[in-house]
Amino acid sequence: MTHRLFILLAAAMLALGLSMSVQASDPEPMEFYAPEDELWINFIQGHSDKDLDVAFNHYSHEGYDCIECHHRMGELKGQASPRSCSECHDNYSPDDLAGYTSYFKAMHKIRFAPNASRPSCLGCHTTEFGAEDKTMTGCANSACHPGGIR
Amino acid sequence: MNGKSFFVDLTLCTACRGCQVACKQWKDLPAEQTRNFGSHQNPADLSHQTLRLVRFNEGRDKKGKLRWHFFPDQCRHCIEPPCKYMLNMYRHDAVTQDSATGAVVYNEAVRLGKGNGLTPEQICPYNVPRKNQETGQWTKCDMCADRLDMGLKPACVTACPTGTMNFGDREAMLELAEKRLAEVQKTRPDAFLADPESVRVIYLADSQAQDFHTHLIADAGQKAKILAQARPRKQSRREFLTGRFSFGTPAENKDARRKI
Repeated sequence: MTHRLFILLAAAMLALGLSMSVQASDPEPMEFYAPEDELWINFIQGHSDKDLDVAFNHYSHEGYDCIECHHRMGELKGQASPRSCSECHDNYSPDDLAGYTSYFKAMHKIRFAPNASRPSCLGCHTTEFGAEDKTMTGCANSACHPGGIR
Repeated sequence: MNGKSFFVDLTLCTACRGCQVACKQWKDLPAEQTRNFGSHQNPADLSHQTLRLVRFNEGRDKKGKLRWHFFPDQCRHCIEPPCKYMLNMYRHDAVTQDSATGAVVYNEAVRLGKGNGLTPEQICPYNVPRKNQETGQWTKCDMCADRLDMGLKPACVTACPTGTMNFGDREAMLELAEKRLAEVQKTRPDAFLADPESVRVIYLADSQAQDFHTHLIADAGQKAKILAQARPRKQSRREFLTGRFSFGTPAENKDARRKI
């Protein structure tokens, strides 16, 4: 009888120890608070005097990890909250698209295999919805630019 | 300087295809192998060899009378050209916008690699540019930039016998368009100008936009509207994933979709 009790106790200890070790190796997940709704993105300066703005909702993208778009977060080692795209992609001209600083490129470049990593807004939409869904991947009068591009 | 514009009065077009032929002749583009697909439209679509195409679509007016809608399709030379911005991401000198005329011109020397799978609809809200699949070169109308340099009008405008095609300074064309619109609206109140603020090729249509092929106006839902008339809509992946299931009629679903 005492023998059986000892085994049970040992098993319980082991289970407790395992669960504690799991807790110890898993750090607290970082929590960030994103500005939620109707973030008006209006950086691109086109040729007309009209705005080429896009409404972005963090809310409708909450199924994704922050780092999938805020891709340099890893370098911050959890020390700071995600930064705005415009802090690095700070060239807002749609005419000069050279280099990583181009804001237009960061939002629109569709990369094709074998260099398909790091999707842009349009690149991810194309993968998720398919190029046929013009509401989500289209240009003028799509969900992104409902007022047209003019 | 506001550049140049076309005014295309679709109410006058008789689909003689003079513009289509003139375009081929001036650009020295070869004929295409075509086949009869049940329409007088020929060829079936734009291609890297057919930069301009008169589309034929049949439809019924409100009284049920059969009507033919003629639509000479071409590059609209957008004020904010998405194709320029899109293609220049891959090659910085692929597309330029002429500062004097506003023409959007593709660089013939730029060829995108085979791996680049951009489709016309991904770079153009009007589905106009076409890629030569062998060379990787994108092509479309260049507003006859060489003719403009010589003080001539584009070949299509010169060839038009009915007054459908007009070309000149943007202000003059907008004025002409508004004047003609008011005139047409007296007898056909549905008449409208297609995206006059966004483009340099301003169409005057006297029937709904979807009667004239899929891309008379830049509207992402245009193709869907036409397909919804033709066949019941299928469940889209997005609707399935977000738990919006379609059981009703296509018309009801379309309304539900718009509310998102």
